[in-house]
Amino acid sequence: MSKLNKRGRRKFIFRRVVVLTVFLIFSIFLVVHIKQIKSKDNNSKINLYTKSEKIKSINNIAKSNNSTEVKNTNKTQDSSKENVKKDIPETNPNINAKYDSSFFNNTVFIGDSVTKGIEDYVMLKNVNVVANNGQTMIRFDKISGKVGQYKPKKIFILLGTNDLLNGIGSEKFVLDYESYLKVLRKEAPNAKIYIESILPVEDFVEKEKPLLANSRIDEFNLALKNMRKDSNEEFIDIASAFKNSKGCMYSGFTSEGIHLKYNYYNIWFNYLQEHAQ
Amino acid sequence: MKRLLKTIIAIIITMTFIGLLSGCKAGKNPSVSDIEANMKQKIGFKNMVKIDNEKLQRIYGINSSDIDNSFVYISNSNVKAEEVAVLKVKDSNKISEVKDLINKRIEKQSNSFKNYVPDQYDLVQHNLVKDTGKYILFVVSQNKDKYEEIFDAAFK
Repeated sequence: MSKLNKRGRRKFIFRRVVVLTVFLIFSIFLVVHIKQIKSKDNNSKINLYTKSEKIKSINNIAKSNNSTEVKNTNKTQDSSKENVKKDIPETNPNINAKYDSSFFNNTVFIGDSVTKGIEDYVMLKNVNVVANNGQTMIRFDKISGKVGQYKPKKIFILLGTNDLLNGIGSEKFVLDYESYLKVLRKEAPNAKIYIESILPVEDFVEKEKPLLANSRIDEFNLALKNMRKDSNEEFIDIASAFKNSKGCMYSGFTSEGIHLKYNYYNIWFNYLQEHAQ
Repeated sequence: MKRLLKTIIAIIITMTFIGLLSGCKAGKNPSVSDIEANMKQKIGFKNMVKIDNEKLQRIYGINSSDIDNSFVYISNSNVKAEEVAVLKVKDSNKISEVKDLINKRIEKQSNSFKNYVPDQYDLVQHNLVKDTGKYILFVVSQNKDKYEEIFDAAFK
């Protein structure tokens, strides 16, 4: 009897121990899982937060870009902070301008690094880009012979910024331009050629690079406007879509005062579509 | 008694396995959008724009059908080299193919900046391309190490 009793007790204790261990393991398991689920919840909350931030930032694209540029101006220009604060950046009315990429079918864009951006970002589908970083009109030999193969209906040329930086005058620039147009006309006899005005620069560039002052850009553009053209050539003033009330590039539209940012190419394409008919 | 013991042991083993498995899942399969949110919060993507799948195909040549989930930020100016991308491929045998395309992109960017914007050329040369499981990280940025830290932390 006593033996049986002892066995019974042992069994009882053993069962207790086993049940307790199982309960302990189970509770640890539960706690760990609840913690994991909680942390996932937090992460998704962060996601939602950033999403709403994103929407806000999209709405304020102009504002944020302008504000970052003001900071840059502070660094590069050494102008008094008060002046910068007083200058509330203007907003370009065309900031959300739309364009239809099919308008640019059978088009060749000729230019420098700004035009090359069309290719770098693959912005337009059925276009060809003949552009080099630092391309000038004086060295048009680097681009001559490259357009004809595409048999374009429309050609847009945007060149001159690098010529301005070389320090030449507008007369020399126009002479080079005319020489290139002769070459280009032979390559693409039936294409309509649009001569785009040179884009303005942001105001702080004028101090850093006086050769690229907006007054000089305007002078070159006027010379392009008055340049002799045949019936299939036309001046198109894209610069007008980018000038603020002071005649400078809208603040924050470029990465370092000169090169147009990705987000603003739409203004250019929209202007071409509206005016190159 | 023996039967009870067996069932209990079976239960314990199953639960341990489930626990281990779910632990593994959280560690090695982090959500791409969580990594993005983390990077955005701690470092940001200043002066960069996010591109969609169509642009990913057109700029990198990466087929979006090979990608499970991704985010790609590129510089908002073509005279600046910064970019940050995390791509999770659907099938791990696509890793090398996608990495090849990223290396082609690096080569193209190098050629574009060489002899034109020297400091950006240097930045491209100091790029980072690494993969962990089905995930690829690609960074061209001064903050390369910080982005990498966050990427690595997602797998711990």
